[in-house]
Amino acid sequence: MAKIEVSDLYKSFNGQEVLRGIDLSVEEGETLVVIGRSGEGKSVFLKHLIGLLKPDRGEIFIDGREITRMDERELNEVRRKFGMLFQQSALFDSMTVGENVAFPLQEHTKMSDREIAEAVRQKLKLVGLEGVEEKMPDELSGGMRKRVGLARAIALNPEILLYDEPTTGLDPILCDSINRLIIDTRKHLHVTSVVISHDIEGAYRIGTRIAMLHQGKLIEIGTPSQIQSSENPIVQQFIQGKSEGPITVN
Amino acid sequence: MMARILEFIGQSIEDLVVEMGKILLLLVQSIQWLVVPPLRWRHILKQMEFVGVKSVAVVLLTGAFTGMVLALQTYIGFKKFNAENLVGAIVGLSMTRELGPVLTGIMVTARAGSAMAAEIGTMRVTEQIDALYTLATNPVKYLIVPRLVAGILMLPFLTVIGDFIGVVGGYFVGVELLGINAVAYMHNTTRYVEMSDLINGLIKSAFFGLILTLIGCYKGFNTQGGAEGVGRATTGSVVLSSILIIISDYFLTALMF
Repeated sequence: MAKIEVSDLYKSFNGQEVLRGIDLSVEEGETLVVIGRSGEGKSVFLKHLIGLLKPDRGEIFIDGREITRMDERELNEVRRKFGMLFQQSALFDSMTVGENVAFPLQEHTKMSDREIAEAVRQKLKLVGLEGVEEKMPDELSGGMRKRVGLARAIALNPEILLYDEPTTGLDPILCDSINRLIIDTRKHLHVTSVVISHDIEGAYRIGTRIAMLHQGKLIEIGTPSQIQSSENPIVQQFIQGKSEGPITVN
Repeated sequence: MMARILEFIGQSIEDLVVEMGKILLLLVQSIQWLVVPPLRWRHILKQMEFVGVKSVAVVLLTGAFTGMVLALQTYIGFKKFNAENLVGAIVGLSMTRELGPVLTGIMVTARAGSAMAAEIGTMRVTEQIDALYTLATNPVKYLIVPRLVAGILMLPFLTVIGDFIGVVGGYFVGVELLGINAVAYMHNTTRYVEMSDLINGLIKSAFFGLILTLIGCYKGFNTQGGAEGVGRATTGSVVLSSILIIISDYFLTALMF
């Protein structure tokens, strides 16, 4: 059984169709990178997987359970299997770094304050940060915020990790370190990951499979080498980063 | 031209009805989440401090000057038929029944309701609310319920302070500055102002506490469009809360007195 199964997913906003029939299955332990141009609905797709958005049509199965028709309480149960890293990290800016990472532990476990403090220290160490518990999120650089966001996302040892453009807006060195972190996290925690990105080099590195979203549909899906040798001109134009071709720039 | 005006009016009314429906829906959701344990006392206390304790200064200031100007105005009118001694009763009745609750409601709207809209709105546009969902924590329960409870509990408390300081301000102007007989002033105040006046005013203030926190949270929760959207949510919450407080004040008064 696939970890994530999406079938015939449709979503439109104000009459404009963003997702037009997505079918996809993600196996346990794999890292699927969804690539595509900005504004193609990649984030919208990701938000459906964790129930932040409800589709107009279609079904999503997580471990065989259909989630699109669940109520909020059932969804919360399923969401505990997930961790999500947001594009801008979405750290709670009224809390310290330590409190941010501790948040899911305080909400969902019966751990003592000391156990939580130790778990927070470990998770931060896992993402390469030490001694930052007392800092406020706005004192951190963009790369560090991403790391804290990831530490918070993995606090409850999730089975599925969702990354919304984890490297957007970072310099090449930071991009590489975040990509490495995604690979290490998969190794350490054996998680299934779905990554949204338009960083094609990063996608080759971290992805076990890559899917390309174009005009609301997945037009190609395969291993990095299959994608590289794709005969689809749209895929080729995108991965080569050319402004001329079947995709027009407006 | 006429058709356009009618269309505009129709659309505005429709928008208003839809918005009221959404606000009521949020209230229903909040009540549903309120009864789901755990009740977050720590959050409620924090909000009580924010809504209540930190509003005391502003309530003291507005309450005192309202009582003072009320004494001044009624003195000028009542002196024309030698009823200056009744100034205290007028100040006491006006403060407890009407001005205490309404002015406190509006001042707390400006101070705390707007801040709630801005804070929750910023959380919305920076995806912190989505992050709460992904961490399997319902934001209505986590963010909104404690604010509503704090508003309902703290507004009566602030109103008592506003009422009291208003009466003190009125006494100061009436007796100390305008020379009304102190004994007559106090006698009339205690004779005409009854406990029921105070309590009905406090019931109204609890409603205003609900209105201003509910609207602040609603506007923040439904913020769209970056920093500009947060600004719109903040002003929108102050305008809508103030209007609803004044309109509901009439109907609550008509219902209770």
